[in-house]
Amino acid sequence: MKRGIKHYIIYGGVAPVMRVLTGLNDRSALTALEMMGLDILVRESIDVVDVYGEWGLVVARMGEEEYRRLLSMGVKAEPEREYRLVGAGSGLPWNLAMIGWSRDLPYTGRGVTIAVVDSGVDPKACGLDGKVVYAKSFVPGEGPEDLHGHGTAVAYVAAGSDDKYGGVAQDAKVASLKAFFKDGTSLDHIILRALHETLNLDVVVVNMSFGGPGGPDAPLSRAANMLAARGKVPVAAAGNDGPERGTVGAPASGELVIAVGAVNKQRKVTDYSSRGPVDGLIKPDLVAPGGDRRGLVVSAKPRDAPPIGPPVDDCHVGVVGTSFAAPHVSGAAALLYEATRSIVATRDAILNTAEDLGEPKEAQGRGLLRIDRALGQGQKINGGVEVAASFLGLIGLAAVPLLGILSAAAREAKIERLRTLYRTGQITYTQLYLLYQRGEITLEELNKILR
Amino acid sequence: MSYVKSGDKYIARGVEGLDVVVVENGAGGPDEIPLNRRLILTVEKTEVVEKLKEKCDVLDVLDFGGEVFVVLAPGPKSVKAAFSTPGVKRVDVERIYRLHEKGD
Repeated sequence: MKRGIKHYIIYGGVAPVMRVLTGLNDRSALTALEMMGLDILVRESIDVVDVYGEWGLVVARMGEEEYRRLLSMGVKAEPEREYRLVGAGSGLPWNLAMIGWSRDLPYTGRGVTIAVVDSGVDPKACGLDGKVVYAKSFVPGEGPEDLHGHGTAVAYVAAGSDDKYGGVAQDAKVASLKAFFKDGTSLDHIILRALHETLNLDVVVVNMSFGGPGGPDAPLSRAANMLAARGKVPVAAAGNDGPERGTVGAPASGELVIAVGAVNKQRKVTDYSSRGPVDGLIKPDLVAPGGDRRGLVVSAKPRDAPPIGPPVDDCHVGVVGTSFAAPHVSGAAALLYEATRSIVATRDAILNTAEDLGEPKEAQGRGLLRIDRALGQGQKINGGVEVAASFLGLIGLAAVPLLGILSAAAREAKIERLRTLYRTGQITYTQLYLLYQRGEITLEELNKILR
Repeated sequence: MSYVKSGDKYIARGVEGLDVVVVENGAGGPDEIPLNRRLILTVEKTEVVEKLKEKCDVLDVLDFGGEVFVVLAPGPKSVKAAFSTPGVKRVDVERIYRLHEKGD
C-alpha cells in the first residue's frame, strides 16, 4: 500500500444516476461512474471502496497526490472525517458523557455554592484550586483538612475543574463542612451540627455522601428534610448495601432528600447500590455514575491523605460508590439553580427528566440523571414557583389556601384529597412543596401525603 | 411510669406530654439504652430544653426551624430525663454513620 493512502468521499451530485449503482456488478458500476462524469476514478486507478447511490457518495482510497489531481479536475471531494461515539471517545470522562454533560452547556454553576458535608476538602487538590470558599471542622480535635480523601473526591465530582477530567458544575464554589473522622466514621451529634451550620451559609445544595441505619424518622433524615424546607437542595448517597431490598438508610431516606443510587459504565444499576423502598417511599430517587471495577469514576486526591482508590496520575484517583454518584446530582442541582433560581424547579427538573433504564424502581428510582434534559425543562419552568401556582389553579385547588382555617376533620379530608391527587399523578411534588412553603400544610402533612 | 411497645416505638404512659419514644441501635427498650451513648432528643419547642437542663447535661441544641434536636450527654441521668420530661417527642440513641465509598 502506498504511504499516506486514505479514504476520501467523492460527491457525485447526481443522485438519480447514483441510485442505480446500488447492487450493480463492477462493469455496471464503471458504466454508471462514466455516466456521472466520475470515470476519472477509473482512469486514475483509484480504488473505489463503496458507492452509496442513495446519498450520491463514492468512497475511494487514494493518496494525497491523486486527491489533489481530482480536485484540480473539478471533482468535488474531501478526506473522510473522523467521528466518535459520544462518551466513548469524545474526550469526556464516561461518567460525565453518560449524564448528558458537555462543555457546551450554557450553565456551569456560576454563583452557586455546594456544601460538602464530609471528611473535609483539600483546597489545593487538582481541579479545586480557588473553589473552596468556606472550610470548618466539626470533628473534635481536628482541623478542616481532609485526612481521609473522601471529601476531596466528592467535591471534585460536584465542582472540580481541570482540562483532563473535571466535575459537573465547574464554576460552582464549595463549602467544606468536615464532619467525619479520619477513619470515615461519624456520629449524629457531629453531623447535625454540620447540617445546622449550612442554614447559616449561602449554600444552595448540600451533598451528603454518607449514611447509617434509620428511616425517614431518623434524626438525620428529618434534619435533612428541614434543609429542604429552608431553601436548600439536600442530596444524599443511597448507600452501598445492595442488592438487598430496603437497604437505603439515613439521611437518604428523608422524604425531601434526593437519594442517589449508582450505575456503572454499562448503564446498569450496580449490585452494591442500596435498594428501596423505605417505609413506602420510592428510594433511591434516581441514579448517577458511581462506577465499579470495570469503570471507575476519576476524581481528585488530597495532598494530605493516601489515595482512596487506584491512582490515575499524580493527583487523580479512581473511585467507586454511591458516594460519588451523589455529587453528580449535586453538581446538576447547581447548574439547574443557576438556570432557574428556584429550588423547587431545580428538584423537579432533575427528577422529572431522569432517563428510565428499565430497571426496577427500587433500584433506579426514576432513572438516570440527565443534565441535558433537565436543563431543557429547567429553562422552560424558570420561575417554577409561579408556574406551580398556576398549576394549582388549573387543578381546581382554589380552596387549598383555606386549609389554615378548616376544622380538624375537614383538614384531614383535604390532606387525604391531596394525597389521592398526588398518588394518581394529578398534582406534582412541586405543587405540594409550594403549599408547604406557603405554610398551607405542615411538614408532617407533606410527609403524610408523600407516603 | 411504664412503656407500651408499638412496632419499634415505645409509648410512654403516665407522663403528660411525653409522646413517642423510639429506641434504636439494639436497645430493647428504655431500660436497655446503653449508658455510654449520647441521646438525640426531638422536642416540641425550645422551652423543653430548660427543663432538660435542670435534670441532665445538655450538650447541644440545634433548632432547624420546625425540628428541634437536643443532644444529651451519655449516662443514667440523661436516660431518666429523656423519658420523664413532657415535651420530648422522640428519643434516639446516637447512631454511627459511614462514608459511602465502596472500598472493596
